Amino acid sequence: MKLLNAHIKNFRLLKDLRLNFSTSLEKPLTVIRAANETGKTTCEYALMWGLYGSKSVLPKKGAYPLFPADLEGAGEKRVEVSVEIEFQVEEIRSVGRGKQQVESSRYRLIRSCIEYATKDDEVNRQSESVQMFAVKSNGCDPIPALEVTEIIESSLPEALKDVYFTDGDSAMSFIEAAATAGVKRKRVSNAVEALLGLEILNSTTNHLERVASVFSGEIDDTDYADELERVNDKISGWTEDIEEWEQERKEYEYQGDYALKELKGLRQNIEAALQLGDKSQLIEDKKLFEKQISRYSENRDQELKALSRLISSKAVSKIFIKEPALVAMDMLRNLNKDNQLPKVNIPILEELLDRDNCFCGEDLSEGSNDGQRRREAVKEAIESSRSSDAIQENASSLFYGVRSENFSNDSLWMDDYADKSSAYQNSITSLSEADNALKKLDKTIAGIDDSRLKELKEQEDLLKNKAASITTELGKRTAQIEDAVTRKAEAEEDRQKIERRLGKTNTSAGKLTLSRRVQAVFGQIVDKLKQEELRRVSQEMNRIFLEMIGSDPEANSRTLITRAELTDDFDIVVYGPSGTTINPDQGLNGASRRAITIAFILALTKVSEVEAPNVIDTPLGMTSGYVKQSILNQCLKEGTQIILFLTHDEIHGVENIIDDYVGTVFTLTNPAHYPVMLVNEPSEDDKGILRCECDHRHTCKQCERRYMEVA
Amino acid sequence: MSISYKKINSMIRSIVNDLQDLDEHQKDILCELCQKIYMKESAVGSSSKQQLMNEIKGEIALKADKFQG
Repeated sequence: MKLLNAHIKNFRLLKDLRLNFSTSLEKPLTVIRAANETGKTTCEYALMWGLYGSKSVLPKKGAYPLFPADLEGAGEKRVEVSVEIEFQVEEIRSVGRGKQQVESSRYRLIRSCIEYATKDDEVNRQSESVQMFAVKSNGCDPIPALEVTEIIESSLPEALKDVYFTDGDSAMSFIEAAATAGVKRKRVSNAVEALLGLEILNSTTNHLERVASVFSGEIDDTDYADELERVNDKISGWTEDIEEWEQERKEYEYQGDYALKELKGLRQNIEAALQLGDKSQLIEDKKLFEKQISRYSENRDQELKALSRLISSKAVSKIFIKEPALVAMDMLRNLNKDNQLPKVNIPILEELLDRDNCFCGEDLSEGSNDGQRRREAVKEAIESSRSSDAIQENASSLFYGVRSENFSNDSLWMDDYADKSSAYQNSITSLSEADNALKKLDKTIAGIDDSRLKELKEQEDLLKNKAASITTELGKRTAQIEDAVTRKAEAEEDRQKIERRLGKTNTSAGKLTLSRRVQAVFGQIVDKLKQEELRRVSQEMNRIFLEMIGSDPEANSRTLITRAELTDDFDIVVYGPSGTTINPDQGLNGASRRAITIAFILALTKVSEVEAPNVIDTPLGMTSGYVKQSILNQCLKEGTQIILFLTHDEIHGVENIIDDYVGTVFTLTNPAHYPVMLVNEPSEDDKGILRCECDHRHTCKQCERRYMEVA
Repeated sequence: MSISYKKINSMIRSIVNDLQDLDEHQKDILCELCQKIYMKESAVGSSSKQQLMNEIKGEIALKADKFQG
């Protein structure tokens, strides 16, 4: 099968894009040069969607709207999405009267749908339909709807979509650590079985078994007829049961995969909802904030009290009265020095009035005129001394009260004031900040509608239960199948014994013999494919992988990667020195991880001898130098149609290889990259991805990019 | 298609050639029959399952006499 061209319309940012692919044997390479965010992965999705539809390719409905974002912004409410793919395939076709022949056919496949925006700004998808036409020299013949899926499955089975359409993520799906060993094995075994066509062969074997049973039943040998019929009935019954249960098991596996995909999508939605804010967590945060604010408030009150105490202290008074106080102190000291402090007259004068004689001996008696006169003089002196005594008493009291006071250390108070004032201001600032943060938090909490998160978590629980129930049913079916296979094998042994006893002259016996021969041939083919071909896939994968990463353990014992193997259990295992195993997803660097996956895909393609396209998105990412060149060389050596989406950086260093193999090359540009990454303003107003015919070495006005160091 | 029909045809030829108890004529018949059945099984636009089995049965019945010699 080879892809010829595609026309993508309104598929996300691919508004109207035509792709064409090289089908030349000599130049099998198609390079689509595109920088990041230019629709490489979207192109892949579009091609896969065109082939397999929304159910198989896109994540959960609504999680991956196809609606182009700019149309939504422009108020468009409804858009038709379509992908048209033309491919050619060599196929076996029934041509009537039980005849088949190999034909080379060319088909045009058109898948379309309508997407519309709802009132809640969600996008719904409806009317998805697919049409197919056989393209002939004289026009196009429509293909009946029932045959469309059969043609796609026959050309490029859906089980192989991860093999033929690989991008940075799915390329790793065979080895990714996130998947369980069982899931990885299932992916690998599905790819192997689909590519080796085991489904058709198993179906052939089943049909042959039934045909042989019919012949066996027709054998005319009355002695064993009943017994043979009974055994044949049993075998037919088991065969039908096994077929039915396998179908059911497949359906459960599909449902399980789908549930896992849904669960993954749901978890992404939960993550996204959590990014908007976990309301319950924010409420806990709010409580902590409130406690913090209470602490800050207490702290502020304490700081304020300390500041108040400082302002009302004696020290602050001393600062304010310092200058007059020092003058007063000098005056008081002088008075004291002159023995004027303490000095009072009234008590001494009053004592004189109690005496008849003065201290000097003069008469003070009340009986004499002199004494009376002197006593009057003393009394006058007492009266006149009252105000000066009061002053002197106050001065003495003041002097003794303040003489030890120091007025010179006011700077200490100022320092103290500065500290306490600063602490108070800080406490106010902290409180204000915490208050603001709390208000902001309140606003955030008020703005969160956590009903969506609750709903998603409920959905997650339901889905988990569903997945668990599917796993249980899967286990039951597997056990039933194993039991039926054992019983069928026992019945077949019985039948062999009976058949050996039957006469061989009967014509039915001849038919039976030939049926068994054919059955044996197909049995051997299945065995060979499962064993020898699987081993060949393993050997080829090992060879391609070691060549890709430039490892030669025989020439250099110091090599870190010595071998890769695909085990009988479908595990991809990488070995280090002395046979130690390396976890491919965790023990290998990015380039080697990419190399092992691509090596597996190429080995599988080579061994199956299938002609099919390898569409790979950024296969050379995370690689450089030898490994980069080697991966590209191996892809070209092993593939029949190689379609690579490459960034400019990936192309750098492999231009010569591309020169040799490229049959078709063009460049995609995202006009939104102007002016930061694009040099020239796009000439079209459209926001969709633009195509120009520039090859891997040239640029034009449309695709010329700026190369700059990002600081 | 998935696995190449050419590869299956060559595997059929190789397996049948290794069958020691058959003569060349029988090998040719068996080989042709197996290849025909595989073509029927993998054909696009083929008939129903029952019809397919009838066709296989018919092909075997047709070759059985020649195969027996």
